[in-house]
Amino acid sequence: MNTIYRHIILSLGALLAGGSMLAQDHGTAAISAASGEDLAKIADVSLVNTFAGALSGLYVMQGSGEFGSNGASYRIRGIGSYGMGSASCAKIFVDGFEVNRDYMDSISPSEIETVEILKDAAALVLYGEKGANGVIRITTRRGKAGSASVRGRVRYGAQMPQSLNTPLGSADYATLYNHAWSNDNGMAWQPVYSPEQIEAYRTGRDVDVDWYGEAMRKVGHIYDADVTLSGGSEAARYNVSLDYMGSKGLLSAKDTDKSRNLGYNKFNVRANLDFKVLKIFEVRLDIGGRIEFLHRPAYSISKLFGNLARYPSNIYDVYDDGAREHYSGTAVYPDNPYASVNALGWHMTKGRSLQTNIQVKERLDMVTPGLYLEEAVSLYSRTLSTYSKTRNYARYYGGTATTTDQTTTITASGYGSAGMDDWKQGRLTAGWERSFGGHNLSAAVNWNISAYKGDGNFSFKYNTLNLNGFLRYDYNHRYITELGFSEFGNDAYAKGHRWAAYPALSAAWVLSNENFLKGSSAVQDLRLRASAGLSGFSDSDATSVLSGYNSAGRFLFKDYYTNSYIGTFYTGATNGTWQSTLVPMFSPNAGVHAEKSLKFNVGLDADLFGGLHVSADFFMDRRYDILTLDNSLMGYYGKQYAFSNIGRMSNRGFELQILYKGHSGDWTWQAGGNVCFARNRVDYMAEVAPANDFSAATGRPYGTIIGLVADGFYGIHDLDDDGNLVEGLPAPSFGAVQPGDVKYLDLDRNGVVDQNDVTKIGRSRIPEWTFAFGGKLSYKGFDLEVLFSGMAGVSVSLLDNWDQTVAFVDNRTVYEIARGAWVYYPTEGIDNRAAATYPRLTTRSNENNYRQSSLWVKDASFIKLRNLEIGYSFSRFRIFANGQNFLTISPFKWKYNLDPESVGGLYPLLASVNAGVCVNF
Amino acid sequence: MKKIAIIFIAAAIASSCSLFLEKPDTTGTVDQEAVFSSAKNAQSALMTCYLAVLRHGWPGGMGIGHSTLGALSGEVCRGCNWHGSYKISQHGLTVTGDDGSDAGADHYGNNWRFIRACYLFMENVDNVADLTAEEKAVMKAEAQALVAYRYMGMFYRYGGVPIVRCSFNASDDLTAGRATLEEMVAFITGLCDDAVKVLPVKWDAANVGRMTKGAVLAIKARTLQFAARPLFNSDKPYLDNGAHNDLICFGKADPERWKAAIDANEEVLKWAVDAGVELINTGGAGIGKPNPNAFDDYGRATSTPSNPEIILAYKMNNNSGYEPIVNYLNCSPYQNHYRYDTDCSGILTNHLEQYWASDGSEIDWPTVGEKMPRPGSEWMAKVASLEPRARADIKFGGHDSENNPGDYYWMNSGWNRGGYAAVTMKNGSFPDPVNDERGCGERTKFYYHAGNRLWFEPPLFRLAETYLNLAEAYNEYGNPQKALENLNMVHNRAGLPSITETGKEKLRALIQREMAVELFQEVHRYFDVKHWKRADIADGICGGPMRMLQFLVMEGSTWPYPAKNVQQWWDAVVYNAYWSDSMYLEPFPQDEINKGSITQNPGY
Repeated sequence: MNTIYRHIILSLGALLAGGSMLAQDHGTAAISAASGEDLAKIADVSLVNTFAGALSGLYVMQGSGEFGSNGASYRIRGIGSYGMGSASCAKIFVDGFEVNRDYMDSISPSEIETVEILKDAAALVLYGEKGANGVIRITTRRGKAGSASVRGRVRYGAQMPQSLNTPLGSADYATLYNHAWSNDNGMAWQPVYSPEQIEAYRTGRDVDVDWYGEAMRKVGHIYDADVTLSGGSEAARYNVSLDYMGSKGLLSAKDTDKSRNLGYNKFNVRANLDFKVLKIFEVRLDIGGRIEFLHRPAYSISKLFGNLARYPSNIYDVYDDGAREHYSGTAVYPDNPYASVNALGWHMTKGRSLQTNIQVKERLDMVTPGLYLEEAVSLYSRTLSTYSKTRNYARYYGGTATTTDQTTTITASGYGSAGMDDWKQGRLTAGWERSFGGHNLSAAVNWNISAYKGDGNFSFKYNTLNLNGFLRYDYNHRYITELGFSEFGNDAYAKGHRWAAYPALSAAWVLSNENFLKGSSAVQDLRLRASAGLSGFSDSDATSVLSGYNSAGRFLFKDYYTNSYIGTFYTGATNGTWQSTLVPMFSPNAGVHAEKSLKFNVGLDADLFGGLHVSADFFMDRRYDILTLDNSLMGYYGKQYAFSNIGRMSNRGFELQILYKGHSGDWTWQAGGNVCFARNRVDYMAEVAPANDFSAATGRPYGTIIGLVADGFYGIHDLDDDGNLVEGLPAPSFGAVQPGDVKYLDLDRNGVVDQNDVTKIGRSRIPEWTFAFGGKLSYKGFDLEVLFSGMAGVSVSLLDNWDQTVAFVDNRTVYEIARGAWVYYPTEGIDNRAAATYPRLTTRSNENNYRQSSLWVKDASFIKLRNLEIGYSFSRFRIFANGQNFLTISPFKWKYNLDPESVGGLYPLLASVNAGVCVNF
Repeated sequence: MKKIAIIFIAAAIASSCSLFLEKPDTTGTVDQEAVFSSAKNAQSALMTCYLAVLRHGWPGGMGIGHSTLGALSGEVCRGCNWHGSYKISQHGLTVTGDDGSDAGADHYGNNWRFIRACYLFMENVDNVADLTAEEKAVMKAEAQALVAYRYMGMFYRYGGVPIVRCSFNASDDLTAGRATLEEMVAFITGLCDDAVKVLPVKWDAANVGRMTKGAVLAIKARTLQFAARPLFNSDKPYLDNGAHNDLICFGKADPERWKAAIDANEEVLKWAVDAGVELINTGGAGIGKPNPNAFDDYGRATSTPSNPEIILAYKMNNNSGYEPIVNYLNCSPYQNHYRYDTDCSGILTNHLEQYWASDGSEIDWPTVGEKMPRPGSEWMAKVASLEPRARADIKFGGHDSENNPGDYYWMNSGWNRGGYAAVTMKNGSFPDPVNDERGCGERTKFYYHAGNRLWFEPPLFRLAETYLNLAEAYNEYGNPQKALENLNMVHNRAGLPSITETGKEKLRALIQREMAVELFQEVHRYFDVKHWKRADIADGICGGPMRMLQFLVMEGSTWPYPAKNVQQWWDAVVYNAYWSDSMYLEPFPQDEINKGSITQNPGY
């Protein structure tokens, strides 16, 4: 892609607020951008986590704080299609070539010049079937001709959980357990724990273990150092950077030969070189490589956090004996959390990756002025391997071994491959640009070829071809219009559907270059933009119903059979002869093709009054041909798995960015913010029409939470002496109920509460509003900056964190939320009927209470303080200290002590306090 | 020169790009063309059909998720509270399904998935090069028989369902409605009549388990048997279905339907002679006399793989892996992976009372409401007096299982979960239940001399069924002598003296009782009692009080309590099962009704 008309308004100091980080590719497209310098401020081992709030229109939802598997999802302008899964968000391109998410995540911000978010049809036109969900385009730093420079940075940070929801202690556990047990036994008071026992728990005379405290430490660490050498002459320029980042997690294990805390170490090297040869050749050679090590205890972190969430405080002490030789463990609670972290050995994953790009450009002005050719090749490969040292421990309880596990000495084991992939891409370009008087013309045609190879049956090989280009005309820098196209070829589809065309037309009117505004003191820059066009997307999540045979929507034209996953059949008189079985996987559909997106965008950019920047966009995205599992086919069609391009969805909204800069004397200040609103609607997804219209997911935003409407709790007068519901109350169909169970509305008034009574009970988990705001103030060498970001119009269900919500069931422990339980034992003076916020406690599974209903669905809007930084610059140094994510404004968090960004009770998201020094020579 | 080179390169790229976008040859597994290019693969596809089609009604993942249909028809306890059977016993059959079913106690969608696989096989097997025309014809007939088997199952579950004659494409017109009962019978018997012409009388030793002439005749016979029974063969349906009564009722009680059932079952007997299939009766007592080897003969007939009484068995001898049936039927401690799936499935008194004493008399069991519990000593005596089939079917509380004598894990002392509703030190429990899951004992049927072998071959058609079908049909058709002749074949084989009752009503009850005992846990009773339209269906069969024997054991007894330590025992109602007349037939999934081209069965 060429760059002559790129107007990037970048690096507005260090303001992270994303205000005005607007870049326009050719002046007609909607793109937002942030600089690597800005992103580097956030201390995080994963690059995508540094994007939060920095880029308007991009929404990053973090999954867990665990290094190497944070599972953040990133979407542009809400969600345009239900046909994609968590893995297929926006596509990522680094220096013009596509990379996968793992590669992006580990790029060091110090390598990055800019990150841009491509959003509208004009920006995405060249990307064809990669473009419909937006593109994250990363450009790495290049050397500039002139004197050599050395830049360095060293930073250290302490990391803590943003929030940690821990269970009640033994005494409270026992008290509430008595309620639960009595509830389960005819609602007659039958305490399991005596008052003496509870008192012993309370005074610490009996077991009361804080498992989170045992398995975790309070503070983790992050440290990084990078150095960048840059410089050169017009003929040869270089930018070489070296980066190290390390992190130690929050587990209590020490780093020894026998145990390892969760930790991550990463070494990045990148050399970007530019040469001019023989006047006509411009050569670029980029080499980016890295080595990563991720280590953890030899126990799955998600399993560990599941245990921490589930194990009660009173089950046993860490050690079964005073000599601390035997770990405790029982058949019901076999994996002592402290021992899981400390006594099982450790596991390591090593990753090595290398991306090498070579690009040669020939200026062929001697053939015809303005003509040039480019040839570029990118080779990428990545290898993951694992290594572990493991041991086991015997579980004891009351002095005797409770399981068959035995204590073993540590042994090296489990060296193996954890996957590898490679990606070969190439591009040939012929371009031409010329100006005649006020007429500026440019055009280019690119031939792109991409061959990805990975592991697995279906994700083994992805080949695409993309013939794309544009023609642009610009009159006097006032009227700009551009026609772009992509003719995209994809190996996922049958012949006849492999190729598809994606055109886009865009225009801009630069009012500030008109005579009537030229030289205006009020208006420095003012332009209107409009674009319309088509893009596509070929990955699909629809085939995930094929579980192990998920093809991501590929190759559906073939009638594949698979070796049976339902077993084998035998024939024969005696022991039987094994007969293998072959099962048809799905019904083939030769017409399957890529999903289409018709995008419209109008926007305005303005620089006013010498310091105010405003940028506004309205957008609409009409998605059609979404690959969909056709649920509408009658059952006797005979196969659940029929896929076709029948889905439709629409998404519309606006973005607004405002930034104000000013100065007075030694003071300078900047303040700004951005907000993005996107509301989508599923227009058609072959949903089987539910019994009642109000239950439908179609016609609502994608992901809208559908469930029963809770209507308080059954009271003691709602049931007669035999435990039957009194006349007139609708009968719930989820098992027998008793006082204190959740009562639901019978929306269809047929006398029965069942799944036909479900309706919208919350918004989607994908927020409608995302926003960020902040500011920066400097005085002489001092600077202070702050950045907040957040989201609104988003719901979560507490049942997504089943372990910390559903008390006692399946031997779980109990949390603060259960204190609100309905309970009524008048003889004991216990009565929480009026203030109940949680159904009556039970030790048994309960289909009625623990199902999706409005009782559990909560608004999860929040504002987080992403960064608060103070710095002081002197001579060539800048020292800084900052705090990140240590403040969350969220009623949801205050009430349930859960992180609205990650409700699942996994390894917590991290807050940090950092300090460091930068140097520039 | 440069331009020429560019043109040349462009041309080269253009010509190679079609190849570049070809799907990689290693992608996925085999496609349909490959499946039907070799005999080996085609046979694998056929075996998939067997594996899937014949599982109908047996527990584990392909319909009602856990427990057996016997838990919904008064044979065994309803199961644990996450079992579909438990939920259905609480709130009846639902249009959204429970625990793996998509509606009621079946997975409606799977029926069609499997039938489609059969049609795909039939439509494509001609492409296989290395099969002879004769082999292809036989394999097609097998697939056809499998379609008939599944349609037979849907016939007595749903009444009329859409008739599908090929594998559809998504673009085909899919608006077929439900067929009438008449059309269903004609379709199923038509498939059977076609297949029987081609299939072999019997297979060689290596292929036993595949469809034979006899298996197809048995499908036809059972279909006609259900067509003759009063649920369908009646003037008016069990619930009015408006304009669609012909989907659930023939509209006329026609005794000639029993004649058709007689003829079809007699055909099975005729085939059995040619095929060497016989009712196992080795005692040598002769016809009309109690069989002295009853215990072993009944044990072999129900348990031994490929025994001579089997017409067709389901041969999936998986012990673990994908939802093995053994999880739900092997109650012995050998089955140590999924014990909880059999934990709450003790024998109901409702079923226990069906058995005879070994001399053919009735047994005086405790009843609910008795003033006093029975003395413990009586318990062992009652068990000892039971007919052989009871002792083969059940490991009675505190007793060793007689099925595997001398095997520690089949003895009471090795039966580490106790296996019956017994407690110590609970004076004052009578007349309440002390345990609502275990009852008088646990199931051991299908495990005669199995030892540590977990798997068994679920019998789908056994010759005993044919005799009992004939007994029922002859009695209904007004021929009590022939009815008794057939009934006593089974009754005598079980070591019991001949039945001589000739009164139609009384004999009907005896035949139904014989079926309840002989076919216990063989996925019959849930359908039989509905199609018999038993007047007491809501009173202890499918619905109503479910009873279990309760035991108080001497203090100081050690677990698992031996029977000699029983102090008191009594009968108690442990739960009341839900029944509604709509449950005579299964509901269709709500999703399916919402699509608009089929109608729901009445009452849902």
